[in-house]
Amino acid sequence: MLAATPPMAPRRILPADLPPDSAFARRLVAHRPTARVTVDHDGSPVDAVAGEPLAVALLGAGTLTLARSVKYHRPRGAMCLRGDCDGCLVRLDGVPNVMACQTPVRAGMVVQSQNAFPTAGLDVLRVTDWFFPKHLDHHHLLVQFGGALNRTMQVFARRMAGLGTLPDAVAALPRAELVTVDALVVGAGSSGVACANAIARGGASVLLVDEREGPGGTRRDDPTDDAAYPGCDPAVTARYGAGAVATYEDETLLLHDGRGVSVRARARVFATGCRESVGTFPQNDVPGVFTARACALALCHGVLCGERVVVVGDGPFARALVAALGARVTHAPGAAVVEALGGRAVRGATLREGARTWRVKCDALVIDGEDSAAYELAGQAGARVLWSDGRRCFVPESDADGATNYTGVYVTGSLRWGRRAPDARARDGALTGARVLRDLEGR
Amino acid sequence: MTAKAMLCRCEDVTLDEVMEALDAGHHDIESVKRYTGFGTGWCQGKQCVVDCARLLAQVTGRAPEMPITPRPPLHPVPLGVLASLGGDEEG
Repeated sequence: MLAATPPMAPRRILPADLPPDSAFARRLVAHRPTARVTVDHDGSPVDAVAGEPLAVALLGAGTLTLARSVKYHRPRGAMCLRGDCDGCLVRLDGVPNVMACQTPVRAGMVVQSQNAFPTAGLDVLRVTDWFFPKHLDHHHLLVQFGGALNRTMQVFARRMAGLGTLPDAVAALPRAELVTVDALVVGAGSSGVACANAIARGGASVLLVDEREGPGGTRRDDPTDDAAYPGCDPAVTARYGAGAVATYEDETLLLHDGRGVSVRARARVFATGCRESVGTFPQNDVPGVFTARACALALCHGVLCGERVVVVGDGPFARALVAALGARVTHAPGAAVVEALGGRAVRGATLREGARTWRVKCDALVIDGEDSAAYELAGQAGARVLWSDGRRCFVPESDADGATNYTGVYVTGSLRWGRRAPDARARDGALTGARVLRDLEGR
Repeated sequence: MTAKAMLCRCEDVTLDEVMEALDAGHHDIESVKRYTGFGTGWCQGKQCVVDCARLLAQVTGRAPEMPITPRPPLHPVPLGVLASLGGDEEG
């Protein structure tokens, strides 16, 4: 149906472009929404597909730069597409600091770049970046001046820095909803779904939430995974597009459709998985540098994040990208990035492998680097968080079943173990779910 | 000229700046955070805390201690949503 309409942006991949027997083609046909709409970005119309993440739609149109950074006014664009980086905050319909990667496209959206004077593409305040080639230590610089000079500097700093401007209008919000359940499971990946199912089948009430548009977690972002996701038990209440943003004592705050939902639960299970990072190298923040998962996520919506894509690393997402795209991408599995090249957007990179150093040209530098446990909510909930030498990240401490040191707080799946096969994650989720049930009955 | 390696993208804190903090004797995440301001942007350290911890582990040869407490909210939340939680509840 889409193929019959005029072609979309060059970075769009249509099922018709792919060999029909590939898993990626089957997945694209099965999962792709089809309603084409237009959104406005800084006065230009952008062709998009309703329901896809706004940041993915903008990428599909070749729009990389969405904002400027707060201090040096360096260009910023989406990097992780998972709500972890600072790249895709935009002003949406007059409201500042909206995460474009977490916002589904609707027809007629008005999207504006932030923090840029006059525009995100050309920002005169970028001179700050050039004046201070190493860095500008404003914390220790500003306190050295006294009186009037300090006040002048503060006014200048306030104009120069900051994140967005106030909304156009005060929005009237409906009162937050209050929900009380026996157990809340945060994260609807393989382990979270299995955990919620185990709790529900034991007769306890359970709410399963995920900020994504549906279940599947990591599997949603694998372009070569065209198998169906395991379903939820009918007794599980699931809410998608509902991200947990804070947790305190027995109460957890969700953002669902722009409104607050306060969940009281005796047991809180965190199945929040892992985060991806590109690592720290010169110019790692230039638009066009992506995590491999971000590139894979966009690809699952039929958007290739560049026209000349270089994939660095040999993790599961890099391998999935190469399996899905073949010769359309250049793969450097054993390489490390020395430096990204380019000012306003990536135009290449210096790579290194062993004693060999070489340069590549690209408009998308895709890196499958080290992942790390998404421990933040479990830590907020009270779980003790320790450094893992093996995984080189912080991990909530848990017993064999996933119970933490804090009563009523559990962790399960990739958060505990790092990436494992989906069925191993599901087994872990079921194990933790059984423990939650026993503890609920015992208390 | 501007080949900065960004450790904390939200607050524009460079690797160079963090190395300077280490040279000044700040060898734990909390002190590096207080010295450079890294991890205090809207992502609340989701990206940069682990990158900083890996750097500390490499430089000091020790396992980093407890991370800074990840403060709520995990994502930007409109103030109106917080206001809508209401004041008539025990809280």
